Amino acid sequence: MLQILRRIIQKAPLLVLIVFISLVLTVLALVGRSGPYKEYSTQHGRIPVISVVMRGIHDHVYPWSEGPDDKTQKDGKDKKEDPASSGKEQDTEAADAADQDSKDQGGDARDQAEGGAADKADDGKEKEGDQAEKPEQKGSDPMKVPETSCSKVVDAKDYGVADKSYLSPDDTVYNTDKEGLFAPNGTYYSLQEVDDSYFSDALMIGDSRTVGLYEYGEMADLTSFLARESTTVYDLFDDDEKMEYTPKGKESKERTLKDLLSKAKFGKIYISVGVNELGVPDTKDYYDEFRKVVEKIHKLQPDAIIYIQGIMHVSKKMSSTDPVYNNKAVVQRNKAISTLANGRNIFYIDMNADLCDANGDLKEELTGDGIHLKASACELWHKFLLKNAIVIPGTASPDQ
Amino acid sequence: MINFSGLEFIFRFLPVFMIIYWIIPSTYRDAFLFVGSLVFYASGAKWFTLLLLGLVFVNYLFGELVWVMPGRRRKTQQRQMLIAIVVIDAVVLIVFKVLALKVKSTLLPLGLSFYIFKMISYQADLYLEKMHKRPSFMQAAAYFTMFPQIAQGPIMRFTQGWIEKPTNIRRRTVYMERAVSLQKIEDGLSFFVIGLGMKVLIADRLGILWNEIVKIGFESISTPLAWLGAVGYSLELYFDFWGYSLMAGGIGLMLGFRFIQNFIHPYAACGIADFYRRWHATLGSWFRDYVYIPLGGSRCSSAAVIRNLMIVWLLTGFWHGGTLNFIIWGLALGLMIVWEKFVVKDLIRRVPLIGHLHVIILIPLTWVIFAITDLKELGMYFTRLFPFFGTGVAVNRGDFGKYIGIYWPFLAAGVLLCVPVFYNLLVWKRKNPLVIALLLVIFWVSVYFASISAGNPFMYFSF
Repeated sequence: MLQILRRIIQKAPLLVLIVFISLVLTVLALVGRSGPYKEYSTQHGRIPVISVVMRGIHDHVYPWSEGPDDKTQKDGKDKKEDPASSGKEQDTEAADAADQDSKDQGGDARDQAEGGAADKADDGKEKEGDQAEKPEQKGSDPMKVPETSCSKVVDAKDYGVADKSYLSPDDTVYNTDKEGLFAPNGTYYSLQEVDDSYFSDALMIGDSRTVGLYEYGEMADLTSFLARESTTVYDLFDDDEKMEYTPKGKESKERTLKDLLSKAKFGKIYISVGVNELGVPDTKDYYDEFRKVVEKIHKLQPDAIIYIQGIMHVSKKMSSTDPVYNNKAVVQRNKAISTLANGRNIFYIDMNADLCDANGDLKEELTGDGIHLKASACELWHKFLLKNAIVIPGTASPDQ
Repeated sequence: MINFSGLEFIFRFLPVFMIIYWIIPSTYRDAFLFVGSLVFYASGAKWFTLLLLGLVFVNYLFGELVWVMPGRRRKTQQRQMLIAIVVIDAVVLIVFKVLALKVKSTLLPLGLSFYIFKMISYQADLYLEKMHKRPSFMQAAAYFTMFPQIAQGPIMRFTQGWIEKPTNIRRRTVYMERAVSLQKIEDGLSFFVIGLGMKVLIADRLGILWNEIVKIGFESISTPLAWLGAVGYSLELYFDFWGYSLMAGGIGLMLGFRFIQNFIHPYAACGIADFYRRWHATLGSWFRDYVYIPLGGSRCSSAAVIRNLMIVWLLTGFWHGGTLNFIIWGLALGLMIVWEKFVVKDLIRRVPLIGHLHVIILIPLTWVIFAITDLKELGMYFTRLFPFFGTGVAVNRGDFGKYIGIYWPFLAAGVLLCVPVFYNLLVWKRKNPLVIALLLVIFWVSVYFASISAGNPFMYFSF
């Protein structure tokens, strides 16, 4: 027996080593099922158990690591496992903040907004709100937000490919912040056209789409960028998430968002993320995380105007075939995050109306891969930002 | 499971199949190979498995008729049978190709062009009496469907797998048996691992570079990036296909077959014609044996040779895809080969460097035609490669630096492996402990990459 084994080892060492390591890894994965690899449980059975160890290495989880409860939850996988608990925690925090704000500012806001024009605008907003899974109304006062402060989310055609597990149930309720999450006063502002000097104290935060804007949108000399391919709203305040920071027209260096916002001052902050997160199930969870990010940014930069940029839609070719990256999911996410805008210092801007066809699909001629704007189309994004800006009277002019 | 570099294949299908295959008596191996291959095919091609089964039966029956055809007019009737079955096979292939092109791309059954070509070669070899023994149903069925080759080739001949040349031992004709041995398993595994590494660690990484270029839009890439893209895409295609062929060949070896070589260092070729003797060699030799030579081959007038070459290359273009760019690709290659054969033949013989330059410069350009199905976009890419006819839009001059900075290790590894000596050394020294250690690392790193990128919706894409 021993002799046969020796012969096998001599004749087929590679085979023996691969089989031996495979067996060891399989045993480790099985033993760690209720320990370090607990959070991969949904994948058991569907994929070979050995890959759990590999994915663990990728997420810095090793056979000797402690269970998932002790691990900092940070990526999408964790969200899938436990959306309830992280969501709940966040809700409480956010609700506290919102309550505080409505106590301080709410009264003012309602007084200020009672005007005919605002009423008219309100109808439009209400309609949109209905589609956006009926955001919670506070009291009997309707929201008075000028229509222009928030572009309409273009509805997408439902191709029937959206994977339900990535969408929130139809009756999900988002806490609307239109009444004023950390709003400074009761005045609402409208979007207007500005020139390029407007961006000189702005910061563009985002994923590969923003990297495209930096490289091809002719904005590198006008404004500052903090972007990284494949970043997500879950990563933005991660201490390990170093992104490429390029101050207006200068060389780039790696910085984390937290560090940058603690040390530099910006007049406007644009956030454009969301496409990578489509793979993370549940819009509600995405919304909660987004809210957390907006709060943190505001805390670090209390005077900055925060722009929440709606997720750009994908092309018809992509949307009609992909269960994850499709416009049904994008529209749902946009409707959720648009409710975070307050029309005073947090604004939701959405360029889809400028870039999409009547079905709400990103025009094919503007995209090469169905997801990103082609280099030659990035200028449209720049133009959109020029036409949809907020100027708050009395704030310092950007050049000073 | 249908993908050799997928974890389900490596850790589930392959080991289970192999263990059963090795322990059952050799007389049942063809039947088991047939059944296992159907399971494999069904996992990827679903209902098209029925089409495959139908074609297997029809082709076997026609083969039987050709074999047993009696009487005086035997040859004529055999010929009619051959024409009938080749027409049936070709019509099936054309119908599905057209359906895929005109209706929906998912209507093209997985691997159809590969197994149809195997079926046609089976019929032709029967007719040409290359088989020394009557094939059994299980042999034919296992040959048509065998899982290492069904999705992407190589296009093995029946005689390479089953009925090898008979040898005379003590005046009795003995047919070579397909033998399984530990040595073959280890060698097969080595080829499999090398192929897996090429596919996952080089081709898949370089695939991202091409995606980046598509993302930017061809009108906005700088000329250096356009050339980098052409080289990157060429290497991606090469290592994807060579890697796949090595994996297929390695599995074949583990099953006891001989190693089927599909790529013989094409980028070391001296001239385009030589390149295509080495690139996807089993397809090239198929066209040579079943189209070019029946048409008269090179033993006729120059005009007829040119006609034959152009027919072969037009068919090759159509075989790769139905859109116009593939036809242009095939015709361009046909013209290049005619040019080499009739105009610069002596020059290349005297100065081989010219032949090598043809390969290094012209072949990547032909792959660009291969890659871009939209003719307008294709034209745009060529104006970026040769920026004499127009300027780009929103070109970022720093793009080449950015992408070479990211992709140079994969490009460098790819270029090195284009030089025959490195690969040959790896194969030759595969028993060396250092090479075994290297292969082990390649295997597990590949599995790591396959794990984090496959079947995981969270890593699905990174934008």
